[in-house]
Amino acid sequence: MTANFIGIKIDGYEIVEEVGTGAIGTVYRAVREGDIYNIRAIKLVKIDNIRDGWANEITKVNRLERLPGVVAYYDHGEIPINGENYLWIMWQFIPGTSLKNLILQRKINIPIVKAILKQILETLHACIQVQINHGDLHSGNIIVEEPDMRRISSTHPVWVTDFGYKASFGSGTLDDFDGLNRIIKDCLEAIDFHSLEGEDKQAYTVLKREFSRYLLETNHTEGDYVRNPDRLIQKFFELCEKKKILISTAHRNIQDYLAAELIGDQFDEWQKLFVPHFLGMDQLLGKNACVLTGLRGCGKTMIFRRLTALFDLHLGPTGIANADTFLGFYLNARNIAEAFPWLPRTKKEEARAQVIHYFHVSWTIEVIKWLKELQRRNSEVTISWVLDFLIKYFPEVVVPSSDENLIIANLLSYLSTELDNSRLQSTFHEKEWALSDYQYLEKFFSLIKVNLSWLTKEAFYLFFDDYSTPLVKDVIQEILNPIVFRRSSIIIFKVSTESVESFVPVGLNDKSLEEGDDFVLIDFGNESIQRKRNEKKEILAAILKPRIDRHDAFAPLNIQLRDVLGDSEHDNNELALLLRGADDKRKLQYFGYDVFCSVWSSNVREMISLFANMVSLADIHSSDEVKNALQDKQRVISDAVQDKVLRTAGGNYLQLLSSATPDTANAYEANDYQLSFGDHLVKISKCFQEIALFEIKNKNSKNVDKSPPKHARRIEIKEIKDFEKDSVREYYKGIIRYGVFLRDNRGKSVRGKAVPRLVLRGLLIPYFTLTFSLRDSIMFSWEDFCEFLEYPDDFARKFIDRQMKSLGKTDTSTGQESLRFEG
Amino acid sequence: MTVFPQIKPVEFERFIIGQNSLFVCCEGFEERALSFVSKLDSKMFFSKSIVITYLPEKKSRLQELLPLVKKHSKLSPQIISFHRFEPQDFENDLLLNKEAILDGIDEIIIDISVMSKLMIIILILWLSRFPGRIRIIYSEPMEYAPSVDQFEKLKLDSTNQGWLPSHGVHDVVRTTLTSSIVMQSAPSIVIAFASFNEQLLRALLSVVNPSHFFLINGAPPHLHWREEATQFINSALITEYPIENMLDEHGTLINKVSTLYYEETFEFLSKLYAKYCYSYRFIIAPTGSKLQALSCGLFKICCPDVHIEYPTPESLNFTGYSSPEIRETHEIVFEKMSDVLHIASSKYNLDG
Repeated sequence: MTANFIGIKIDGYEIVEEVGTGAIGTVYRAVREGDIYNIRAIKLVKIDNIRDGWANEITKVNRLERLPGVVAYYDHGEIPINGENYLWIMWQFIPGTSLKNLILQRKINIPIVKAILKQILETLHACIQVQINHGDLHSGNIIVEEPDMRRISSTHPVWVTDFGYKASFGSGTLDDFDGLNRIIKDCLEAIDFHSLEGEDKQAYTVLKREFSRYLLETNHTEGDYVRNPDRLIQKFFELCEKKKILISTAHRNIQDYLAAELIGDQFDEWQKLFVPHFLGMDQLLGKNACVLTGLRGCGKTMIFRRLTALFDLHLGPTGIANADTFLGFYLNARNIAEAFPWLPRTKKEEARAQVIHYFHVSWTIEVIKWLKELQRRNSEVTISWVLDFLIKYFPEVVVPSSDENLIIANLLSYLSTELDNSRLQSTFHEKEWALSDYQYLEKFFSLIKVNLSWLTKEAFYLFFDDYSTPLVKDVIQEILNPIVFRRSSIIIFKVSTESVESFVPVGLNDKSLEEGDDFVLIDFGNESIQRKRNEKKEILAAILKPRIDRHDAFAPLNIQLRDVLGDSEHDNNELALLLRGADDKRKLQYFGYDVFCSVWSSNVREMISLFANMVSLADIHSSDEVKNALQDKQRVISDAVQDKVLRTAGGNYLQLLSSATPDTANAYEANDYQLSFGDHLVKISKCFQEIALFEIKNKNSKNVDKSPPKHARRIEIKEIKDFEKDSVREYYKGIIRYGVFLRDNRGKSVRGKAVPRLVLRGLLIPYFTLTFSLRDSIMFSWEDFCEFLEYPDDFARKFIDRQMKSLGKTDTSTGQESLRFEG
Repeated sequence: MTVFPQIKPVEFERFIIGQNSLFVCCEGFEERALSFVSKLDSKMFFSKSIVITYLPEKKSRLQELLPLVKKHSKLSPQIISFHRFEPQDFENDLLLNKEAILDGIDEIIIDISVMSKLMIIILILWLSRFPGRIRIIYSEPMEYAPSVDQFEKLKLDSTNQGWLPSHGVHDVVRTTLTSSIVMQSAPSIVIAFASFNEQLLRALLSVVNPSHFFLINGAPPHLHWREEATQFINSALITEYPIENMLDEHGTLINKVSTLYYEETFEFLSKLYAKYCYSYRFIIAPTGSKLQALSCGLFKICCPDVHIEYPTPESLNFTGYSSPEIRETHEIVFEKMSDVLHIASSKYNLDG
């Protein structure tokens, strides 16, 4: 029957296609003869089916003439077709799809619902002003327009159509607020709450559980929102905001927010606690790809996040020199790891495109989040070009508004769904992943440069955090490295990884990535060893200053770390002599500013905790107390308290070390109760302690005239070979990854190969009663070193025996005192 | 009013199984691995059976368990491996063979008594849309390691850990079914369960760096001293995260749920989720009891945006892990799990 109408001409327009059917009529697309761009929608209703008041629809629309989002009326009349009389009404044609179809196709998301809610409430506001109602609001009468290539923006405005035929305002017709409520319910049924991000989750719950109460309220004494579309829009956003409940934090404390993750988005705290001084700053900000390593808690995440453009928007410039030459973005590699929890080597090729796509979508989201904030702060910033760019990759994206905020919200929502769809489900999908092009990021960032030319930044820095095995599997690193270490003048990656052992230096076509050529390695641990003492002290003092100011007793006095801790009493040589002579090493005390700063092996978190524990144990109550101590040249925190905290911290660290996990999942065999991998690392540490103490007691340093006791906290390996056993390699990786030892890259060159020295973590020095000196080394052959790692229980005794034999002392039973060298 | 089916003692003399039943059990090294199946009436037959074995291979009751299962199975038992450190292989096996395994089955009986907690969760997630009856069997031993005396010794000498049920951490693992990528850029809340291996939680925290950490203590229905013991073992963590882990006037951790009555765990998780899901990413570490793990699995079905991370112990103390004597064999019957979870989602406002 429908086919009968195709080709029929009405008022100069030819019916070409059916576009929708209602209860009493059918709507067609009609084209003006000789002008295919002149299109109309024509509704045909059999005269017999016409209901009383059909003309009211036209009257209503005419009263809303020129209102955005309301389909315009042109003309109407009667026409005989195949012996039957029909009423025809000609409307503006909106190319698009009904909301009903979008819901059925599950192409709906929260930003679309918000756009629809806003549009309908705006239309209802106009209706109320001219005293009409729609009278037939449902998802079939809402049209979401297709993108219009004539417009700059690729958006999809929302249109309200098919006004009901009942004439009077509020006269028993279908209530418009009821209709809107039903539309919202229909939309929500097609959205999965659990796939939503925070803001969308808030809106979903508000729409599902709370907003309808306000929308449907008819008693005007309940509030000014009742039947007031303008106030209802405001009410909706107020309700959403209330859903954002944060866990309250405690009173301000020195050791608040020991990790960047704990601060979250509390920008006021970021402002107070971030210090623009850190080790390796110049190298990190240079225009080279960097691999940044350092102990856990060394502040990598805090630095990375603070250097982003998003944080600059919230907090202003960092004040770091050269930080204004780039625009930074942040992504945690953990996100990728969680999306691909399983990726065996055999699946690498199958997974490649999917992993890259996921990686690119993730970065795109980060950029759009920044644009969202940028647009929020400066409404003149246009961002529709992002939509135009992305729509080439994702043609199905629906953006029902030209409102820039809604475009961004919709893109974010769409890309979040895309992210979820592209994570590993049960198998890898070898399909065309839209963003799997290796050059995608360069194209995207080039576009940003073109469209936001006023930014005048030289490059984009992509801070990629926690890129560490075993969490980020070696196969994932191998897939992503060709992008991360691709030479580009536009984007430069800055990668952080736990240790050099947790980064897989393999690039395109499995070629090795070379330090120096392909990336700059910045090892915070190494930096902490190599930097001048004064420079280190300055940085540490700067980091702790805002922490000191958080304490009620210190805040009014504007004092520095050195004031609180006082000076140290002994240098390393004096300490070594004391250690050699001490009957009870516990009587020796570690305290003072120099000692405290010497403990620092790049872990900032550890130093803040140490300081906070000292303050807490010192039980300081008032600023007068502190002022008096300073005036009397007394220590604000006693020697004993400082010593206790420093020693206890070493013990606590070893206790935590026992929970260390091996890098490669299957390298360490689990058995009925035995030493764990972490326990083994503790044994290695203690083995070193035994040897180092022996050397202090029994050997003198050869390096200086006075021949002080040999006080070594460093291992020097005479030559380096490959590990023969996997388990030994794992122990080596373990002591580096968990920071028992730091690699000192100034190690001497053996046969043209640099052999790093291993320096004991500063925190263990007081606990092991050693000195902080970096002058002496304990020399190991490669075989010694492997034995030290594999059999720490026996190795110390064997090594010491051997040392004694070489010194002509064979009696181990008489104790070490008798073996002391003199002068 | 309770939403979930109650946990009830199994009455073996009245215990019957359906015509088309699948029995799933696990080898384990504890004697209770054999308990349920050995008490079944000799004329009782499952249509199919699956015995899950552990990798890496360790001490096992497989040689005793297999003949018992064979005796009660019409078809020869299918053996599937669960690699403690590579659990995805197990999950893939289940997913790839789902149709074949569940073909013609309308009742599944899962004996979780000696199953790894992660294994329980993967099985529950795998069966999230199973339309038939699911029966969970749990044989509760009279005693677990450590004993009161052992624990008192441990309190005096913290290095004397040889009696603890597990030790060390091998890795923190996740699978595709247990993962979620929703709200990855939001601050995270980690919810974990107190156990005798504090190292598990330490390793977890160093991997996930949460903004907030809720530790839930387990309240056992019988061995009450263990509640105090697990709080003692984890006291440093409680001190580190005081806001989330408040103590009552007796110094007892307020966050606690039964180790057996699994709905308490579900309810605790639900209340936290309904309040904070808008601002935080939820990460659950099922480090507590097996029935708490069951709840975590059920909760994950209701809230797929929740992410599960599981720290695997490095070694287990086989000697005296649990007593051979069984206090009770429990059963939970889900006539149709998806219906129960649908009601639970509505009751606890988990669906937005």
